[in-house]
Amino acid sequence: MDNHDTLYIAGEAISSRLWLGTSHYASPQQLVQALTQASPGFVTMSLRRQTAQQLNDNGHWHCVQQWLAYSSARILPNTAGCHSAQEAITLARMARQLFGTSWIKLEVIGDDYSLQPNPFELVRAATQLVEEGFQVLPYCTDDLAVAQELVAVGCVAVMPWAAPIGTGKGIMNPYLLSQLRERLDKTVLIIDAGLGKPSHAAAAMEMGFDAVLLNTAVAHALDPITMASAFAHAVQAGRLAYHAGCMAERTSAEPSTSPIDLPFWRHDEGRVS
Amino acid sequence: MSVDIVLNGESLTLPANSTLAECLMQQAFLPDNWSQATAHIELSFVVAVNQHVVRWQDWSSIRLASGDAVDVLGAITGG
Repeated sequence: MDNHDTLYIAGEAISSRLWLGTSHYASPQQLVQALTQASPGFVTMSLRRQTAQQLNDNGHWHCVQQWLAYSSARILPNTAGCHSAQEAITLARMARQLFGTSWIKLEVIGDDYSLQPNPFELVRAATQLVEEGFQVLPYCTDDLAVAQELVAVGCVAVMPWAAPIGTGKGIMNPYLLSQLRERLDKTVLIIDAGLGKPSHAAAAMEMGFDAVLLNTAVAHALDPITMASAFAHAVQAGRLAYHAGCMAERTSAEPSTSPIDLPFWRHDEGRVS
Repeated sequence: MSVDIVLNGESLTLPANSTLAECLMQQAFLPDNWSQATAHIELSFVVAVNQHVVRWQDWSSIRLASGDAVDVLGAITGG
């Protein structure tokens, strides 16, 4: 799409509707090449305890920093691994100081097996961080009531999952996600987690979601660099299709080619083959 | 006299009255000659003491006490 289709969040123009995580790449060089192919609007990072030696050896981060300097992408730190509002709030504050941004992908995990977010702690953390001036983008499920509450407390976007993190299953519950899109028609909605193929990303964009955020689908591809490009094309195609307006589904077949004036019309059978 | 703290989950004994900056220098997070006057604002890590973020401007003034938990965090890749 042209410039008229720019995504704005909290008044800021976001350069792309494909957002990319940075984990699981075989090397910093592969990560940078994937980023280059994807041209993401946001690049996600996190933070963990490190020794002085680990800080010095942090090749992936150093490469991402260099790449960001020449890119229009923004950095989006996350609070991955937090299990309570207080943990997430503390990590968000540290992320703001480390990365120099008040944008935060808010994650508060409620179940270690499915990595399903804890909605109660998520809303609590979002409320506090919004009060502290963060631009909060919460990772949540497709629960409408939770999403409405996250909007009500001031989140600048809401990021429902398509499927559990890292599963690559694609959109597990299109009904609930469609409902979310329809009911929160003024809210920026990003599909975050669970996408495995470019067709999944295209489907999400066709449904009217504003962007997609993914990591494993690219990093675990046999050729992550080419897959990054595939996702970039898919997101663009899905967005174009959304604007173009997909045809309504029908239950019965209808020939694309007109049967009228067919020379061997089967008058006796009253149908065409 | 000494103080026993926890740094990134590991026990650590420091001389009494050690500042946070001295702790970070002893553990090689900061060069030995680090001071606020020469501090570089683009540090590659952030520090929390007892779950509270401490700005680098305060590292030289905060004295650690026994039982304090110091966390030093740096950037990692994430999704």
